[in-house]
Amino acid sequence: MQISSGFNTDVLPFNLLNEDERSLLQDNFDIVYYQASEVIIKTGDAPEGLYIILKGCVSELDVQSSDVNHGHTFVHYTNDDYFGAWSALRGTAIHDFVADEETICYLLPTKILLDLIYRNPSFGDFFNKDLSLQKQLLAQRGDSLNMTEFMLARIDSSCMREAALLPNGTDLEGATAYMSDQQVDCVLVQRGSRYGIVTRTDLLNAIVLDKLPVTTDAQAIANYRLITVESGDYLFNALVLMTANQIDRVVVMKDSKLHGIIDLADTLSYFSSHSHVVGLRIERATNIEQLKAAAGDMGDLIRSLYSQGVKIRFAMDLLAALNNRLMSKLFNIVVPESLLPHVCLVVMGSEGRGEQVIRIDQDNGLIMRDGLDWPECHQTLEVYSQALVDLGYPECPGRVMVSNPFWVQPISEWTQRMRDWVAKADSDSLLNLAISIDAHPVAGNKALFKTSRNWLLKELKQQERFLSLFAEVTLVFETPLNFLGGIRDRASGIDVKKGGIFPIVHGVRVLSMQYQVAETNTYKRIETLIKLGVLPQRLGSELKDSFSLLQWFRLAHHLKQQESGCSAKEINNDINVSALDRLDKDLLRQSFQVVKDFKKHLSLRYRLGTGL
Amino acid sequence: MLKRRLRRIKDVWKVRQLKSSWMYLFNRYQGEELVSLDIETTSLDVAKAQILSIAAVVIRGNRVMSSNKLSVTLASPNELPKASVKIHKLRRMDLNEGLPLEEALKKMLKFVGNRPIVGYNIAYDLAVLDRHLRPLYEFGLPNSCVDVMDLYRNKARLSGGAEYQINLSFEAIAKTLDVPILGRHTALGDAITTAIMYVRLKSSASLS
Repeated sequence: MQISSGFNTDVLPFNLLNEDERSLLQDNFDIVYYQASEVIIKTGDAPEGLYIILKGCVSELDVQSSDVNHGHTFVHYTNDDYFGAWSALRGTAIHDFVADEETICYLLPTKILLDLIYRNPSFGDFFNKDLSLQKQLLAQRGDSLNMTEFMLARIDSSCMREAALLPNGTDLEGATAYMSDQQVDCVLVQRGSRYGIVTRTDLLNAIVLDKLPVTTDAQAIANYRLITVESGDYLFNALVLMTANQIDRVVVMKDSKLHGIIDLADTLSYFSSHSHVVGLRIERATNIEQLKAAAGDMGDLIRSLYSQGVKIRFAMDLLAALNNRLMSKLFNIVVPESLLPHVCLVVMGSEGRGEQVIRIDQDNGLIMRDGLDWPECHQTLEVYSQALVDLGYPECPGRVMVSNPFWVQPISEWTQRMRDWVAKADSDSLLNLAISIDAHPVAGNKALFKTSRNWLLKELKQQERFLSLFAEVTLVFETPLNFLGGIRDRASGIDVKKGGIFPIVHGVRVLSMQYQVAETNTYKRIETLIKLGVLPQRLGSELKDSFSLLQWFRLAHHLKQQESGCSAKEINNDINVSALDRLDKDLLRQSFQVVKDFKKHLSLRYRLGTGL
Repeated sequence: MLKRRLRRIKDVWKVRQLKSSWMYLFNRYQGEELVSLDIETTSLDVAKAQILSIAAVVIRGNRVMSSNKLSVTLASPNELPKASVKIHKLRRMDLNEGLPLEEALKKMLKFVGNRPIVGYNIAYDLAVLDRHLRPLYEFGLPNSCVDVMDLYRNKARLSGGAEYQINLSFEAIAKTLDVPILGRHTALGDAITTAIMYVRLKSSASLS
């Protein structure tokens, strides 16, 4: 009847004990209950013994650095973990152990622990080994941090070139001489307070193609619509900008003053990925076959980004830029050029937010000019959707794609329909609205899209009742946390999308609607909402972190499924928590906690539910 | 419970007259400990139930002193209904090495002393124990009692639960309090689980 006490001696290291030693253990432990934030062992105290967590979570803190309230957390312990062994053997604790949440522990008194270690050498060894293992674990964590640090290089003078500013009044001949003199392939010109850029290609085009005299002022051929980044921004963002705009260099500004130029070649030396190669392939493609080859490369790119530990947000940005280029290119191939000014292809849902890493489905639609006469519309779009499927963008299960006439509408109909959805506010309408709100233009005439978006933002602003209905959807899926704040695990795994990603995306979407934030990307929305003072700074940055983490878990899970040969339709979001290691488990738990806090925030703001 | 009080007064009188060595059980308890108690029986009918095992564990502050516990199995009673065997899993052969009733009760009285008793639906356990105690000692358990069921009901009411919605089953309480159930339907397992429930109910303000 020994099992009745509940202490499981069949797990390491307790299964190293023999029958007698086990019953010694069974007879001598106590069960202790701690409330959240209660200190279990204090630095300098003699711990009572070895603690084994039955339920709950405990962190080990360094008090040396805890002058500012929060010490440095070394390790989090959760169910079935044990702690305090070293402190117990040493006699005094060198760290604080604090219950993160309500925690129930078994406590094995030091005397019995010593007795067992003395009687059973392999049991004793285990504790020594385990300690070195823990140290290794901590060291490894540090390494991976450096890796990300490298990927997070910021724009400063180490990675950019000085901008060569052409003296005013220089002609084309002088400019060419200046360039070869300075060994640069582009120069900047100043006209009033504005800067323009002149590249070698510009010079060549001006003289050879446009047959301009070499005495023409260089200012006349400069391009004044500069693509710029701020100094101090991530270098990665510069790369994303270049990929998205098909350019080879961006200008760096500092406090709206010219600071330097970043060249593509310089950035590539920083990143071992071949993102730009993929981008170039997409650009050069003239038919669907070539696009297909480029799309195939993207799978490798995702893997290499993932294995290099690139922050998920940057991976998303880069992939979104590439996806958009690809779709736009395909659209331009399939749709006759004469029609392009009259239609606008929009991507919606996760693609519209630029948050799709692995291609799960295609969500797209087409906004047309009112009264456009295009009889072959449906056939052409059918071809487009099919081509996307061939490129590896699976069909949308909800048929949100241009091959479905429902998502191909003239602009007046498009806006009217949204008005109807707002008025109706049943579950289908809310879903359709959620998809359309995240729309982002990729090809065709973007002004059509902007008209509809501006209309929507204005329309929704006043709809208090609707916004509260819309916000309620955030609470549809339960956060998989239990009463004590631990993860509620299921055999089938927990759905990170429903449990975590969806509530963040949707909640942030609703807030953005109310405050007329035109951004579609969840990170940018959160940042704007913080700036507007809608979201508290702390909750906002926690949301961003949690969102990244959940997306990262999801990506890792998807890649694993892909490797084991799952088709796009079979891929799910169910993460098996028990297979995660302790650190991951803990991070996941904290993310869900943030989701829960956010839900609470929304519930108060929109007066949702009754229980809160 | 009022009936128990009246009986206790009578018991005190009797014990005084007998100058029983158990007199100290009737003293007011001054310490900080409690004892969580549970018994397994052959029947749910107080008049018929035979005691199969008794377990108790000391509670001190936020600590369930499972190292300081009592767990005794009794000698086989004359009859062992099949239905009850299914629940407590104590077969006749498991009871062969058990203690005689008198010895088991003596151990229990010594262990519990005059500390307050904690239990789940403790009235039943007390009624059965008293029925067996009286013929031998002329008194029933005099200790004051705390029922986690009552504690839980009060907390649940305070957090706004309607009476009919409060599920008072052992499993439901354990689930809501997120207390792991250790060895259900063994006296010791239930005693420890009940003890954790008690500590949990005492130390947190509400049932969020």
